[in-house]
Amino acid sequence: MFKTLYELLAGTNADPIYGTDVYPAVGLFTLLFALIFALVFYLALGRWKPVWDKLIHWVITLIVLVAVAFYFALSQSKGATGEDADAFMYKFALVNALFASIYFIIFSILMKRASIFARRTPF
Amino acid sequence: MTRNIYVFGIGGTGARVIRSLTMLLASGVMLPETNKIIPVIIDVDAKNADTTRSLKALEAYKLIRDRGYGSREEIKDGFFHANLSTLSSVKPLNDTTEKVDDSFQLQFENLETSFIKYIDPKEELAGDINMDFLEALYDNTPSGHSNFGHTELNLRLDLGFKGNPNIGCVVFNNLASTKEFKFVLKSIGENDRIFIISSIFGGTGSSGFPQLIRLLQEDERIRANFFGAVTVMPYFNVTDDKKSAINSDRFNSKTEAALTYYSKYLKGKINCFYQLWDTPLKQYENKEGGAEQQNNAHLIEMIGATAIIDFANKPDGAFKPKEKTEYFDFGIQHEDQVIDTRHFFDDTRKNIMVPLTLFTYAMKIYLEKIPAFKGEAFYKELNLGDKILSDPFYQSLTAFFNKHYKPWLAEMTDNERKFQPFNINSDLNSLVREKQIEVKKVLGVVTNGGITDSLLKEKLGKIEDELKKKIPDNEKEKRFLKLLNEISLECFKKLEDLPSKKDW
Repeated sequence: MFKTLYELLAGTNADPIYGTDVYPAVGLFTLLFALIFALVFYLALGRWKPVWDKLIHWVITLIVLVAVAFYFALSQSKGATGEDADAFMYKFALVNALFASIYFIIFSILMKRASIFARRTPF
Repeated sequence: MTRNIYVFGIGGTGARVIRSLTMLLASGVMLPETNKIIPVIIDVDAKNADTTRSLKALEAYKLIRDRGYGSREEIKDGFFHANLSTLSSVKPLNDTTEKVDDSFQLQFENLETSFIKYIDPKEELAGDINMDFLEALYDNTPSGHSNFGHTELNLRLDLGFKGNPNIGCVVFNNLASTKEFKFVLKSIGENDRIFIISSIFGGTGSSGFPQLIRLLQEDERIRANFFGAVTVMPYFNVTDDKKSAINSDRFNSKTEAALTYYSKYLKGKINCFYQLWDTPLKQYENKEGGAEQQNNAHLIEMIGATAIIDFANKPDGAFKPKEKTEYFDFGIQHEDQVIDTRHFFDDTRKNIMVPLTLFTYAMKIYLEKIPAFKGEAFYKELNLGDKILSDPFYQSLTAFFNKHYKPWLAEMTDNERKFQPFNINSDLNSLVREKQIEVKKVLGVVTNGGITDSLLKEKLGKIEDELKKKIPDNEKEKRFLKLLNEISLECFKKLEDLPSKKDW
């Protein structure tokens, strides 16, 4: 599933290790990162105290997640291929960051109702 | 078995005690066995500012209650829970077609004239022996005299009786012919209770009270109902003004005369008779009535309102027969010029002062804190951004706090003797007089800030989250009233308890 998603936006890479190792691992962990970020934002902090629940906090959380997803995809690509970063790796990292933000937005929509203080964040 | 309580407030003092009652009921003072409270203000002085102010407070209360809880009667706790209703909301027992104005005031007719023209509208008594009799009974300084307008026969009745019960009793005799009074008689059920508030040192209250008892008990069906009354003896003076018909030097003699009359003619007619007085310390400006008569709220009036609560909550079995009228006074624990919560006995602290404290927390939070919490989820969930300035419920709530409750507290603080249980201009940690919520620090770092903005935001969010599960979105006003009630309880937890005698 992840292979299809990444190839749809980043294009195909001749190196088969992307399809067998990089895409599934990066895709799964990016999804988990987005889930954890949303759980912490909406359920852990969002039900504890009104300390990290406003739109600005949500945007900062999203930016951190995007950065993590970008760095994670880049480092996994470099590690799996054993090569220095190239144009495809940056493209893949960008696409992964985009998917991370999409996952986070979807989790936000699903989880915000369960929150107390972030129930109306981001909208 | 639930019952309605009819509360008749006669004259300026009656209206002021009803104003205090409105505040106590708004604060959520409990009336577990009462279905409706029906205040009826009886004042011939149609423009009296005290009456107008009380009516406005009652109307604001009613709107808040109607929007918050609808016509439901099962609401038995929380702010504005008591079903304060107008006479027109009660269905007469034997006549369903008759209607009266949706008002808390009982109107007299044909009072826009002088006393003599009221008695003799067609001027048929000139030269008659009855006119001689009237002139013997009432002061009738001839026209042209500087004091002509203030003499008894020439007093304008729509400005009140100006301390003349001998005029009031004649006018009150005609109360029975008013449409509203007939409606009252038809509306009172066999379990309903009747309470009458009056002052004894003026004109309207002292004459209206015995007349009203007599008129009500002329109806045999009502005679067996429980009757209670509070009569307020002198607790203020007015400045000397030779042009005024009101002279406070006569307050005591009038009180004595009225008490003598009551002891003779009210014997066996009242179950519970509450009597209030205080050494007059305050001298009000001498205003005969009308829009200029606006006396500051006084502790005595609030205590008068507690008498109504006491009467309403008495179990049926606790009443003695009317032949053995019970008399009640109200005492404080410690003589003082500034009264606060510590001066009251435990029952008053628990039943009256705790609700008032909660309501005062709610007022401060509603007026000063909530508008600053626009970004919070609870604020958005309740649509307060759209509603707080434009919706009639929130407008009335704001007006009730700003124009009625807060001034009522401030006026009692300014009066003598002062009643100052709260420091209404201080922060929430210092709100209750003589009971500061301590801010705890360790090495200069606050470890417990008492009632802080962050605590309020947290609690408001969590309470709203819980309330949302129980009260649906189409009852957001009710949810908001509950929210205010519960956040004030959280503040009270920080306070732990009201100050008491041991805190001296």
